[in-house]
Amino acid sequence: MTWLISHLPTLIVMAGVGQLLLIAASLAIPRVLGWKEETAKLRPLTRQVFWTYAIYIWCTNLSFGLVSLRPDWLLDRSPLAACVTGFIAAYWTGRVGIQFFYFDRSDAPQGRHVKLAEAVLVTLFVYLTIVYGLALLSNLGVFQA
Amino acid sequence: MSVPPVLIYVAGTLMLLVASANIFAFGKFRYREHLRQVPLVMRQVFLVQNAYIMFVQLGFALLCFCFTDEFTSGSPIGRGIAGYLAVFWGSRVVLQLFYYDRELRRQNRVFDVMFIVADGFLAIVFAAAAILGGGIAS
Repeated sequence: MTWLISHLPTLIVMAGVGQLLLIAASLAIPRVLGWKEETAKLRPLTRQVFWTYAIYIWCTNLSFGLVSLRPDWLLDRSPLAACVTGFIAAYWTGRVGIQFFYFDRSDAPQGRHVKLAEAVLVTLFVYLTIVYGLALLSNLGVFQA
Repeated sequence: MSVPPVLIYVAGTLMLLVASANIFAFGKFRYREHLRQVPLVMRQVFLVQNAYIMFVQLGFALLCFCFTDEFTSGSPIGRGIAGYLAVFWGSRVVLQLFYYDRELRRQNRVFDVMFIVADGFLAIVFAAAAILGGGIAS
């Protein structure tokens, strides 16, 4: 635990890099899951809303990645830093829960590569949850990073 | 000159209204009914995206109400967030004008205009906060 706390700035930068890798990799998701073919069955508005949301989620993840490259901003113990790190922690905590308790994976593509990719993805989500959770605690003065 | 705090409060209120419009849109545009044509996982992705967009907009609104000074003081993180919000809402105006179905926009002209005005206002306020920051000394 002490090691984690003392290396928190580095862990946040790694979280930022992880999120940038995630958005790069997520460009392949529409092709792998056949989103273009599936959304073609929808009415224009529903299809356009689907893609608009997807782009905005992608940009949100991009912004989290970029801001994490400045850990001094996220660990300055200001109320704003606490709010931002708490928000990002809640964002990724929710994502872990959705992966395990909400998404239907029965008709997801099968195979070792897919299983490996999912394992990497879930590990990243858990890592992000822990790192931003620690950053929140640091900003709240629970410990000194 | 800097952005008056009242405009940041108005922006926060507008973002709450835009976020709540997502709930209203579900019924009005019958998303659930149309989504029956795609696999369950696609429906779930749509709902998760919708929930996350609302969560992000709610977070933005809370930032406006709780950290108004950050947007008007010129702090680096305040200007950074304001710049991001300007791009976020500015791009939303562009999507509304050039991506969404024209016929559907015509059929819902009141909502169309309301969204363009609200998103445009948000883009301008946050762009001003990002550019002016703590203001220009006179």
